[in-house]
This record gives sequence, structure tokens and C-alpha cells, in this order.
Amino acid sequence: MSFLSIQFALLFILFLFLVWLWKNPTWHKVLLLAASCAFYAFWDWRFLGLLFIITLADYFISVRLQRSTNRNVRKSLLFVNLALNLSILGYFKYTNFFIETLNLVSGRLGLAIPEMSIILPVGISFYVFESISYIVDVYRGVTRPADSLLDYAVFITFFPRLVAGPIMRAAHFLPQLSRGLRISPDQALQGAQLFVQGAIKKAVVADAMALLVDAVYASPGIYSSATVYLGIAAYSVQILFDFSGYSDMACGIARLLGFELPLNFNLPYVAQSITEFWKRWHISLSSWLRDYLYIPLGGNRRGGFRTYANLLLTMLLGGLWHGASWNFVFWGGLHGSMLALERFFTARSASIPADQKPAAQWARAVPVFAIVTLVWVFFRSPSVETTRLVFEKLLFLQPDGITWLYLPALIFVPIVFLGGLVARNQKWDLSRLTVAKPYAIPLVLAEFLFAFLFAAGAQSPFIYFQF
Amino acid sequence: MQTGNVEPRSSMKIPARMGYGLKTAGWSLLFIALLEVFIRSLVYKTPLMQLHPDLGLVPRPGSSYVWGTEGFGVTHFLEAGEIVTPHTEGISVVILGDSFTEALQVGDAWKFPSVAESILWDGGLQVDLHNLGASGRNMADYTAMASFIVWKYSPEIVVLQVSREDFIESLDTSRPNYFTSGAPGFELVEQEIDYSLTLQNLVRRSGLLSFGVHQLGPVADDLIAEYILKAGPAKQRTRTLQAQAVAGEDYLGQQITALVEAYSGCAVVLLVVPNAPRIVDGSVSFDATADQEFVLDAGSYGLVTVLFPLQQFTELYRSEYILPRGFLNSSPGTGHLNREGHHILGQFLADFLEGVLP
Repeated sequence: MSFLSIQFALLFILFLFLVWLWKNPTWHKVLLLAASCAFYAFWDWRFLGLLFIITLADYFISVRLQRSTNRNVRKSLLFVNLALNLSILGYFKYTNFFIETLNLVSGRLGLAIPEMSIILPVGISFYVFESISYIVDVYRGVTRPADSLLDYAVFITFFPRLVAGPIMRAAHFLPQLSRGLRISPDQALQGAQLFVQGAIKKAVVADAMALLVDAVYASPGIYSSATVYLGIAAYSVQILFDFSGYSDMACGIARLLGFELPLNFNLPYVAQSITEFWKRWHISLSSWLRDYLYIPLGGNRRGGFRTYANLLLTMLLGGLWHGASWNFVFWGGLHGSMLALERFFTARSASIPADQKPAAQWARAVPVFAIVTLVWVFFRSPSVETTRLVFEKLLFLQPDGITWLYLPALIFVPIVFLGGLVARNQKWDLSRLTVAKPYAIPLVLAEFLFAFLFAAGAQSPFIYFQF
Repeated sequence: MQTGNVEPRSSMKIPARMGYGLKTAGWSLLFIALLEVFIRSLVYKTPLMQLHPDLGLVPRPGSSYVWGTEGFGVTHFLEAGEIVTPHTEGISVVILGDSFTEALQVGDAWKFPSVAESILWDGGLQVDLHNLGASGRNMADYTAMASFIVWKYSPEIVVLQVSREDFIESLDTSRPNYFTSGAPGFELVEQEIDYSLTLQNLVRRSGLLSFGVHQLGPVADDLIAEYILKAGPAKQRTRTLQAQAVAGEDYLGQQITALVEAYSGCAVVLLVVPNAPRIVDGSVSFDATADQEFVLDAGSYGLVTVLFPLQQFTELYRSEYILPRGFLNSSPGTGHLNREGHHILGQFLADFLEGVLP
């Protein structure tokens, strides 16, 4: 069930009505859990059992972890939980990738293992990572176990972010849950503003970009080099607005209910280095990778070579997290290599001064945007052959073809890039609107109207649902 | 759950609340006005309409259509819904057609009748091409309006831009004009439309409302079809039924005969726009078999001349990688003709008229 569907609107209205009807905080949690299960069941009810198993295992292991003082017992409990979570993720997401790779390697021996028919449960990569962070935090003593199984179940299943993040931490969410649902007019307005902002990003911009991007990646060979350049730039806009649009909608719905979700995007294309890009792009994932993978691997504390190796390994696994395909691994590897190279060079030169003039900021942001855009090609291409064809066009090896200078891309690519650079130096924040301002409610309603009127004809699925 | 703690409103006294309400209403009007101006100027503005005794609902003279959803164009209308062309004198030729001839996607001067007229004048042949294209018209409409066209424009030649769909849709009994299936003639039903003070009128006068209906209408249709009727889109079902109805009948011959009889005294020419080249499964397809079959069928009666510029369309792509359909804001090879497509068609029509006109 997409946020931009009639089913979701009806379910959400019913949910709000029941929240209004029953004032009891415990009932509110039960309602949240029920709504989240219903939301997930609309995708595929069979995987509710999987959520149930993870929830039960996490909760009871976390309680045991808290009670136990024996180091070996604690380590064993942590190991059991990690093994369970990673096995579930590995089975559903990587089994066929493993078989495919094995068949590829052993092809010469005539060995061919048949692939298995496995459906990927929607959102599994997100909730498994949340589950892991919870157990590791309890193990480290960073957070206490949830007060009850119900609280933990609400945390794992919280519907606004269940299928595509942002990846939450229990330490961030559980204290909010214990305060209960708080719906105030200002929060409702801000939630609506965030939601409609996300809807515009997704339905008006990202879906419009999809028309060009899908066409170019379906058959790059028939388009001219100019169109392919525009297509890959449009994908940079599409993936940002698709994913950050979803995150905005998730944050909006959560805020409407009185919850704050972590910031997931912060103008990533204004980044002046790849390192900064990863501090601004999919922040909840990059901070998860930093805290639960990069730092445990040793981070930058074990010398130069280990730091570069840790960066590379973290990003390779980050790439693999996105999908069971060598394209994603390669994409992650490229980013990891660039992060390592940047660290190598910045260690030997002065760091970037914080208060640069806009012109200097722009001069640094342009090449970063160009590199990130080029590397997205590996992320988006459905096959190695498509990647090859796209790069043939980009290198003008086969420049001829249909020149389609798709107007929405010509408009939105510069607006998104240059607008981000302007917004970087601004302080205004529409997500902090208040009903006290007489323009606030009309503005949000006008934005809703705009989103309805200018939504691209065909709605494409959210890109990050597949992960 | 905390509700009702609205600092600015709950603590406000009545005059302050009224002030707040008035300001909110003012802001609302401002936002609506901004949207209206934006839509009217760049996206969508329907022309004012009037009920014509012979043609039904047509744009009022002097009104215009702003279209920016697939291509961009401003179309200006004259009397009887005629679209402005560069010249108003010379040998009279009428061009009838549907949305391909109306061509809201390009400006007046780029529509193929205007292109053809300009080429003919540049070549020294003074021809007045009357562009009477209107979206949704079909063979029954063209036949029904024959007496008016002949009386009003006294054309030497009537060119009809058609496809097989136009013949099939002419059998739809829910339309104002339709052919009775199996009969040699047709029965004209005039639908009375009150266009004085209706909700439809109000909607058409607002860019915001009419664009809203344009955008959300198909969505609503699909939702109704999917959730209430539990069936496919209504338009598709109707077409399937019509196609089944005409199977085995000589609907083509009957309608062409009726058309030629209605326009007796004028030469009748059918102009078929090829649905090729287009992009199919990631490659450029030149297959226009369905159109070619239609051209052969329509020409087999020997009553009309059928023009079919497939070779010109194909050559456009082969020499310059340009597809005749699609715009900067829509997929290449799909939808209506773009400027290049209109230019090819206009040139093709001009060449033909040059050869047959005195």
C-alpha cells in the first residue's frame, strides 16, 4: 500500500478516528501496532510471521541481555540474535545471488544449481538493520530494552517507515513512544506540510524524471549522447526526490502522530566531497554503517591502510545492502574507493574551510555532483550490457540517435542542483510552519492542489521499496 | 493524546478570530489566483464555446486554447471553430480531422494545414486552406456537417485526416452523430446542449477547474472501472464492443459512399497519418501494417484518393533520427504529431494539392 493511494488515505482516517475515540495510551499503542500490521499485510500478509519472529526474538534476547552480567552469556546472546537476523536477511535477499555467482564461477565445470523461488519481503533490509542496532545498543548499554513486548513491536513495525525507512534507532523512538501519541494543530500542519512536500517530490518531479530515465536505460542505443547525458542527470534527481520524497512523507505522517523520525537527506548534491555526500545522503543508513560496521571494524583507529580497507569494506557491504547484484557491489566499491582516496589526499592537505563564498562552494559541488551522477549509472543499469551501452554514449563512441531534450529534466536538474546550493545558505524551514500564521493553512492546501494537478501521469513504484 | 491546544486561535477574541479568518481567506484567494494565472498562461486554458446549429459545440470566434500538457501551443479560432491559418484568400480547400488536425500541441503556424498553405503560396499557388480540425470528431460528424461545409466554404477539395478508428467510432450510438450499422446511410441525432449557465460552463471558464477535470477525470474513470464496475477502462470496453459489432460488415464502404454522396461536387481525399516510426520494446519500429491495410481497404472502392506519407515519415528518421511524434515533455514516437511531423505532412499535402489544383 503506497502512501499515495486511496487505501492508505482511508486506513489513516480510520486510524485517526479510533485514536480520537480511545484515549487510553496503551490502546493507542495497540492501534499503532494493528495499523502497522494492516499496512504491511497489504503488501504481503505472509511475511507478518517474519516480523513476529524477529520481534519476539529481539525482545526476549534483549531482556536476557539486560539481566545477564556474564560476559560470555551476553556475547552468546548477541551472536544468536545477529545470526538469526542475518540468516533471515541472507536467505531472503542473497540466496539466489549466491547461487547465481556460484553457477557463474563453476560454469566451466558444468555445475548448475537451480535458483530458488524466493519472494523478497518488502522492507526487510530496513527492519533487520533496526533490529540489529537495537540488540547491539542493548549489548553495549547504550539503550535499555523496551518496556514491553508491545512497545518493541510498535518500534519494529511503526508503519510510516516500515517499508523504506528512515532506519530508526530504538534509543530515539522508544522514549517518544513512552510519552504517547500527541496530536496538536501545529504538528498536524507540519506533518501535512512534510507529507505534501514529499508527495510533490515523488509524484511531480521523480515520476516525471522516470519517463526519461526508464526510456534511456531501457534502450540507450537508440538515443543520442545528449539525451543519455540528460537521462543520467535526470536519474540523480529522480532517485533523490523519490527516496527523500518517501522519507518526507514518512516523517510527515510520524509528526502528525507526534513522533520525530531521523533526518534522512540534507541537500546531498551540494556536498563538496564524497565524504560530505555520505553525511548528507541516506543519513540513517550511512550513520548505521558507520556505527555498526565501520567503527567495529576499527574505523580510522588502526592506521592508514586499515582505515582505507575499512572504508572500502563498509561501502561494499553498503552497496550489497541495496540489492543482491554485482552492479550494487561495484557501485558501493566505487564510493568506498573514492572515500579512501579522499581520506588519503585530505590527510596530506589542509581541510576545506567552513565559511567559503558561494562561488567556491559551487566550484567544489559541481565535480562531486558529476561524479556521483556518473556512478549512479552502475546503480541504475539493469545489466552490465546496459552499463556498457550508456558509457559508449557518454564517451561519444556512438553519439547518434534520437535527441530527446526532455523539458522537465532540463528544468528540474538545474533547479535541484542550483536550488540546493542556494538553500544551503538559507535558514527557512517549511516543516516548522505554525497555524498562527494566516498563510500557513492556505499554503499547505495550495500545495496539495498543486500535487494533485501536476502529478505525472503514471505513478512509478518507490525505488527503495525493492531494497 | 493532546488536542485543542491551539495557542493563537483558542485564546483569540472574536475580532482577532475574524481578522485571522479574513487573512486566511485572503491568502487562499491569492494562492488560487496564482495557480489560475500559471495554468491559464502555460498549461491549459480552454476556449469559450458556443453552440453552432450545424456543427454542435465549437469554440467562439476570437477565443483561444492554451495547451501545454503534451507539447505547447496556442490555438486561435475563427468562425465555426475554424483554426487560424496564414492566408484567407484563394482556392478553397477544407481540411477536416480530429486532434491531429486541430493540433493543440503546436502553434497555429506549425499545424500541417498552415504549413501546406504557406508552401503553396510561396510556390505561387493561392490556396485558402480551412483548418476545421476538432478533437473527437469522426466519419459520422464529417458526413453530418457536409451541407454546411459546402455552403459555407464552397471547397474544390475536402481533405479528411482519418484512421480506421474514426470509422469504428462512427458506429457509437451514444455520440451526437452516428451511422446505423448495416444501413447504407446514416441517421443524424442532434443533441441539445444548454450552454448558458451550467456547472460545465463554469468549469470551462476556469483554467484551474478545467485542467483539474482534464487531469483527474481519467483517474476517476479508472478508479470507478476498477473498484466499482470491476472491469477495464470504459473507453477500451466501448471500443471492443464496437469492433465486435463491425466484424463482418462493410462499414468502411458504406461510410465512404455516404461521405462522397454528402460532398458531391467536391473531390474527397483521405489523409492517413502513419503510426510509424515509433519505439517498440526499446527499438525503433517502422511497422505500419495496420495503417497500410486500412489505406488499401479505403482505396479499394475507387471513390476517394487516399494519401499515406509513410515513406516521408520513415525518411525523416533515417536521415535525421527524428520521430514525427512526441514532444520535449512526452515520449518520442508516441502521441500527436510534433512540428517535424506536421512539417512533413504539410509538405506532402502541398505537393499533392499542387498536382491536382488548377
